[in-house]
Amino acid sequence: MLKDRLVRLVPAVKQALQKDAERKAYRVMEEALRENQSDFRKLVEGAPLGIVLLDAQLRYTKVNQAFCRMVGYREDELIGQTYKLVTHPDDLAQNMALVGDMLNHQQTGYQLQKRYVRKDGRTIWVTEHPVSGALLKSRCHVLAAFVVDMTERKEAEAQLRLSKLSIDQAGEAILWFDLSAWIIDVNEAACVMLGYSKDELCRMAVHDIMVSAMPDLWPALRSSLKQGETVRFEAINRTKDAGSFLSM
Amino acid sequence: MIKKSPTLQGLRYVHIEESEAEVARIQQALRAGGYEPQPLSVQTADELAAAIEQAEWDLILTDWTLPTITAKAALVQLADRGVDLPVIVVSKVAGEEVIIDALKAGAHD
Repeated sequence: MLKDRLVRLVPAVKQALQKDAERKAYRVMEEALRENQSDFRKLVEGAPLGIVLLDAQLRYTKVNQAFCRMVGYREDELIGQTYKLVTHPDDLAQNMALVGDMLNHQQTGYQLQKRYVRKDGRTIWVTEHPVSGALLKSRCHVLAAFVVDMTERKEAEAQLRLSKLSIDQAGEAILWFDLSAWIIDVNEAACVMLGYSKDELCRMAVHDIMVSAMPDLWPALRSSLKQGETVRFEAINRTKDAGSFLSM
Repeated sequence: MIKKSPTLQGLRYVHIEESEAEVARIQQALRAGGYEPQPLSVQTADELAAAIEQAEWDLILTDWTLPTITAKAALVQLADRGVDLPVIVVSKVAGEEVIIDALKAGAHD
């Protein structure tokens, strides 16, 4: 800027101030973005569910600690490996088809219950929720997945199925009541003994079938049951065909 | 005390310049351009350092060469102190070499 051409001074000052303001705003934005990325990294790293990112060759490029614990491999053992490393051989074909569909943009994401084979050889059940890199607007990752360990739930479900099967197959009639004395479930033996279908029984109350002493007994019985006590009593039960039998 | 006009935009700047007449002339040009100039005139590196420490500024205006400090040295001093302000060199000379040197040192104009 020449001293004898001060006509340029004001535009130069305006331009310099504007550029300065833009530069500083950009720097603040960059800093906020860095902080966000840092917060996001901490969130992913500390998340209780497994989170993985895969590149175009479907190799792990990022895995969080929850995923490492789930599959029993260290992070450095997983990075560079494909998802085939941990996928159960019997689930691989279906998994590959779903990934193929998603990458051909037929899907943006899906949910799959599948098995992993851990490093120690143990099989675990997981639910995978993959999302395509296109959805994430990621240039270097084609796929991200959130993985939930379902092993405990699967085992609990199996236990429950087994318990239900045992109850259903039991020779004794078993009826479940709510605290208002309505029947909420029965086993097969109860249906046979009382002559009602399961649906019919589930629309009835305890007084409809246990006719002796129940109106007087129920308040005390309910109070005991609420306290977690076991109660034994005798009752005369009325069957659908107007017959009756004594139960304990 | 400087009385601010409600229509003028305040402009706080350090002016590295030995001539009071030049300081006044530039002030007048800025006022004519819609600014309310609030300059602090300095002539040495120490005065510049003190000015930077004592207040917040919008801008640095500097002559290219003074007997006590050059614009290039002032720009280096500002950079060393981590001062991030736009710097405009207002000089009697504006050869290609001067312009390149000034821009390389961090001047905006």
